Amino acid sequence: MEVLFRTRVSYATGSMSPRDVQPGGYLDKLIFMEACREGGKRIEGALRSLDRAYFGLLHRDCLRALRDADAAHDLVQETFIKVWQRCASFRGESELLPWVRSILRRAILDKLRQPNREVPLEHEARMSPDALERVAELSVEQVPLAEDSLRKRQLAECFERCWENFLRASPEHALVISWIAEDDMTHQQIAALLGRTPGATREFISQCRKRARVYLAEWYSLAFSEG
Amino acid sequence: MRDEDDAWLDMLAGRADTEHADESNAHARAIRAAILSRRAAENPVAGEDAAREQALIDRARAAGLLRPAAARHQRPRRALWLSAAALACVAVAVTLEMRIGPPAPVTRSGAPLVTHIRAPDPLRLKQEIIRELAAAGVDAHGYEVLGREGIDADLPLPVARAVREVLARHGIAAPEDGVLQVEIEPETP
Repeated sequence: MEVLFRTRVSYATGSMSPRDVQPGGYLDKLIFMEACREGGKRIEGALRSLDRAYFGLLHRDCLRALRDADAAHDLVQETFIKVWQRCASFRGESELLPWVRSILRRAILDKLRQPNREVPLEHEARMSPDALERVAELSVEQVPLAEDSLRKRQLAECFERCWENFLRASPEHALVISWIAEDDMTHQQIAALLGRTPGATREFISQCRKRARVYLAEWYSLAFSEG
Repeated sequence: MRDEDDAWLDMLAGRADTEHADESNAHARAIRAAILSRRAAENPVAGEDAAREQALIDRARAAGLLRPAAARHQRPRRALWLSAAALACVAVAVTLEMRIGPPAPVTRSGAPLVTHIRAPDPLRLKQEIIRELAAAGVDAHGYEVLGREGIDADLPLPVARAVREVLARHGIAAPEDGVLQVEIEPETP
């Protein structure tokens, strides 16, 4: 083994124009990489741009996982700091958001693995009745067994209840399942996220499948019944 | 069982043919649909918040990412040029030393430092380092970019002796700020 070289990224303070945040809250990866390379005056502005572009999305992801709004706020900001500390390792192969998200997700998993994590009851991230209604509407084409609006709503409520139980009992498995569905993750991406070998990742996915069967059993029976 | 798990994963990730779904895969498809519907129904927090941004900037300063505001304005331009020149000299000296002698530990201040190493089997070495760090109480994460294996970890400060020993075994200097970044490239024949 041979140590080759070490690279340093220099940072200072300054501003980056708000125009760097594109309509729809999208931050161009080339602008981000340029700011990282130049450092100096662009870092402060770039941090603000990151916050404007992605705080909302990441906070939602984090709140869903931690069920604590303050802890989620804290972890997202901590992630933005890490993003800048590690910006030199972003090579631009993917868009910026998936890369930032992967750093947040690792931080979430680390947080969940900490012993004695307390979840304040007042910050439970249960969905509002309006959101449940919306889920039921959006589910019409996806789970076609629901034949009337009452049943669709029951189905959405049942999924929500089962999912909450799953998240409480086995947060790491439930979260990884949701991330696979949301981002179409491959085996390799899951292994990288978990920091496991391919074999250990297979075992983890197998556990995810088994646990989903257990915790979503009530929802399965409702969704796949004759109605 | 492994094939079933793979099929379940593909269905969950939306990669499988939905026409040929058995019961388990139908479940995966339904979970995917429910999760995507749930996500679409949620409203993220509004984008811009001056107080939140300021808190982030303060936090970045506390982490040493940005200079304190007062110091930034008071520092004379000449001093900045001198600092830059001094840094350039240090960089040249470090480069020369690395070329003529064995790699020496490098300390860092405030900025992330990526340690690049070469090994016959980068993946194996990466896993070995991650395992050894885990045994020393550090949760390190592995990644792979363009055929280069990498490790990221936030080391608890002060860096524990056991962790320093692991890093030293692999020729990696312990980062003073606790942000460990290592990239491993394959050895050329």
